[in-house]
Amino acid sequence: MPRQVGSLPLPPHQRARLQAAGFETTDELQGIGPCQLAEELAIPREEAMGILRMARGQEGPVNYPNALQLLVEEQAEDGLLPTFSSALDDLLGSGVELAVITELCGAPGVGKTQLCLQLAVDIQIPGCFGGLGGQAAYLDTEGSFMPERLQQMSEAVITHCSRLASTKQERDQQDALKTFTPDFILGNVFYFRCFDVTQLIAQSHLLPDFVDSHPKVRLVIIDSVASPFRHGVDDAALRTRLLISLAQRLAQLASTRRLAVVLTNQMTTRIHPNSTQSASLTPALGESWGHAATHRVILQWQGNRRFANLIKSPTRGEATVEFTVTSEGIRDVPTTPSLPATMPAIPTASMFLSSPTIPTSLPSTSTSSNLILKSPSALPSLHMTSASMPPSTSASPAVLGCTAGAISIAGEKRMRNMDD
Amino acid sequence: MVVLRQGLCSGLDAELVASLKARGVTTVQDLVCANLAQLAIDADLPYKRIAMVRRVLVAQLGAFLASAEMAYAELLSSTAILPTGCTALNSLLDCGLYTGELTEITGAPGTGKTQVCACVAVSVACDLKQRVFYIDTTGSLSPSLLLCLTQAKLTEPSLQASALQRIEIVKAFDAFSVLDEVEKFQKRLSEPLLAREEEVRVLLLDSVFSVFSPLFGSGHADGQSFLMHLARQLKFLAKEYNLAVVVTNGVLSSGREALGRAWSHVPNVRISLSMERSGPPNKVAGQSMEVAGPSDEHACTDVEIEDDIVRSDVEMAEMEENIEIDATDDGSDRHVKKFERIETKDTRSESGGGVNSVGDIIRLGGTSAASGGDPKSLRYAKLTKSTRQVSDSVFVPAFPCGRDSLALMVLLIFSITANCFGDTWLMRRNIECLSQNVDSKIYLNMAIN
Repeated sequence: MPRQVGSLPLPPHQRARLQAAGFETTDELQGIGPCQLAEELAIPREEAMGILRMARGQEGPVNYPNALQLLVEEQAEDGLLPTFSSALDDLLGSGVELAVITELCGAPGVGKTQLCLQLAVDIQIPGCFGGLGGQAAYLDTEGSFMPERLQQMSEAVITHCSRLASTKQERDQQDALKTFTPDFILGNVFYFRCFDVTQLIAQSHLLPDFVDSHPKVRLVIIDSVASPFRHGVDDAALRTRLLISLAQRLAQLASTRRLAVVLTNQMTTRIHPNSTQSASLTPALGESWGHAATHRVILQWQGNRRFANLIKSPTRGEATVEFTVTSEGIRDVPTTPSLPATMPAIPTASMFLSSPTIPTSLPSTSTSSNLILKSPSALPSLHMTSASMPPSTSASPAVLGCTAGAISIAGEKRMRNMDD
Repeated sequence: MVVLRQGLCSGLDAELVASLKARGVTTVQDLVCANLAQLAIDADLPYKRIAMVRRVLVAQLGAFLASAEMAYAELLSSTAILPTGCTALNSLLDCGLYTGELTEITGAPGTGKTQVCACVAVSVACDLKQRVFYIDTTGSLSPSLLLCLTQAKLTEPSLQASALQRIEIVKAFDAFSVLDEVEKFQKRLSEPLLAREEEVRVLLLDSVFSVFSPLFGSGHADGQSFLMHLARQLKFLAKEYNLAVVVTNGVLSSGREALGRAWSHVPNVRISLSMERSGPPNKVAGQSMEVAGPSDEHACTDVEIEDDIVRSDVEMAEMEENIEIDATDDGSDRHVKKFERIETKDTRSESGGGVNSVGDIIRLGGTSAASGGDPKSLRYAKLTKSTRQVSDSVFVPAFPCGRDSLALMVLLIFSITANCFGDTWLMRRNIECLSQNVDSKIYLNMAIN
């Protein structure tokens, strides 16, 4: 069946004229020259040429990648984006996944912005430590971005990496550490402040070009996507349309350039008229928005403890894990005997060396089989060392005092190299 | 409406086209409806010539008659039933996905639509060794998920690789790209088979909601028309090339399926997935917080489910994981546990005769806890529309035998209404009931376009 003219992405007046002249399918447009068409439709010649070009479509054989090629491509990725809490990484499947949209929902204060800041630092971990060595684009709509906190987190990550380098004594790690400084990390976070819906949507249109001109950008954070839409758009149907088209643009950006896109959402109350409980918290922006993100994590409070609940994911099972926010950033909760048994234990190396998402057996007949057997060998050491020394880093008042001093020093520095 | 132009058929040259155009006859429809004698006089053209041109055009472009018997025979020979990879879902769908039909899977976010699509793709690629074309609009199809599902079915790595090579994935993120990709796919199918030993059997589109809903609304009056174009293309592909087309849709806040009433008439079979979360995620002493899953509105009570299951005669056996886990993969069982299969003891489906009714609900399986203390959420699939699987009451007109003319009239009315549904299966069922009383042949027009 030939393509109907009405299904081409043409402006309405051109479509109307084509149909008035009696053209139904693209086949009928094949034998006509642009001048003749322009005359028949009474439109300028350039428009006629545009129509014909669209009607002709792409020519030539098309080859689509098959699942095996995509799998190989996915595993050729040389690094992960950890959250520095092994429980959270495990929840999401060896860190935040690239090429998809991850949504973090939560009540105020639970740690969404903290997690975003942590990811903005973690994306920059050099490849020799198992990271991606990339840059981050941070779109801020609420004004909750704190450079001082970013500085604090980056210092903690650098300390961690230097400990690793000193134990392993590898040349490339020590070389990488020379440039891996707080200034360097802050300089690799591109900050965009969007004050309303229009600016956010405009920025989302500009992001592909920005990413093309800065090819090292591997992470896009939007914190938060809910606030401008909830306050700036009155019409609910328009809001849904704008949100879904934004989601599709982000999904395309993520997929074509293999970025991780992390969005933050707020929570709202849903009333249950028929059920036993009268109301409960649910992610904001409506049901249609729920389809936009690939992975959806709800961060919630229970008393004084923070939990992360994965409620939507095509690849991971539902789970709830606990995490904490320390002066160094997002970390695991240190295991003490008083905690209930539902707490996931500090992972051992064996759990990370055979990473859950990477298979270890595929045929040797495949041309790129040597790419398939991959395990992030450097990354488990990252977690191992954090696991082996939790008490001294998280609870000691001396350390807190030290970092507070660092904050005051950092308060005098301002973020340099902020591109806009 | 086909524009008259030179070369459309033999005998139609530029001069004739121009003179007809001058009389206001621009399309084939105009020519067919025109008064030929008057036109011949007005245009000063030989009547025989115009009449011949008209005859040729009608033969070339018009619909042709076919008998329902022929249509049914063709249907029997060309339809294949594809297993979805989940036994319970197969039983709900009357043994599986039918080629030549459009099946829609709807559900709230997180209920497992992408999972079902992946499962279907892997099932067709591994078990049937046929090719799959997957259009992904959300970017959520993960190759590792496909690998895990493949590893559950096949143990040989070379077989796994060849199965994965049969699944073609294309990513299209807006409506026009989807339309383009479907057109390119159709062009590819219409080319003669060069060295292709395997046919494409399934086309999956995940999801149609995310690309077409931005086109709806007050600003875009023609959003609906683009969706209908896609619907036409997909149905044509399904019928013409014997594919099963599976489409994913979302739900609105009210719980209704998205994309409106017009789209709701398009799919032949509709399944609605829902999820019931049992219990709060973590109960700490004194305080527990509920986080409402998005699909609480769909939650069916246990009693309701039980009734429906009893009605459809499906007995749920124990839920067991019948998946081989590779010994070296320590954590991969997490992926696989999300999609457990149910062994159903269903005598009717074993004999192949189980016909489920619209409105049946089955339980699909739960996600096991990845770490301790997590709830098992149960997923339910409900058959909300099917043109094949009828409900209990079928219209059987009672009229005395031997009254052939009346019978023929009734049957003609039936054929016209069945033609509106466009479904030969439904016609066949109804005809079976009717033919017990009368013995007549039905001729009906099947417009092929």
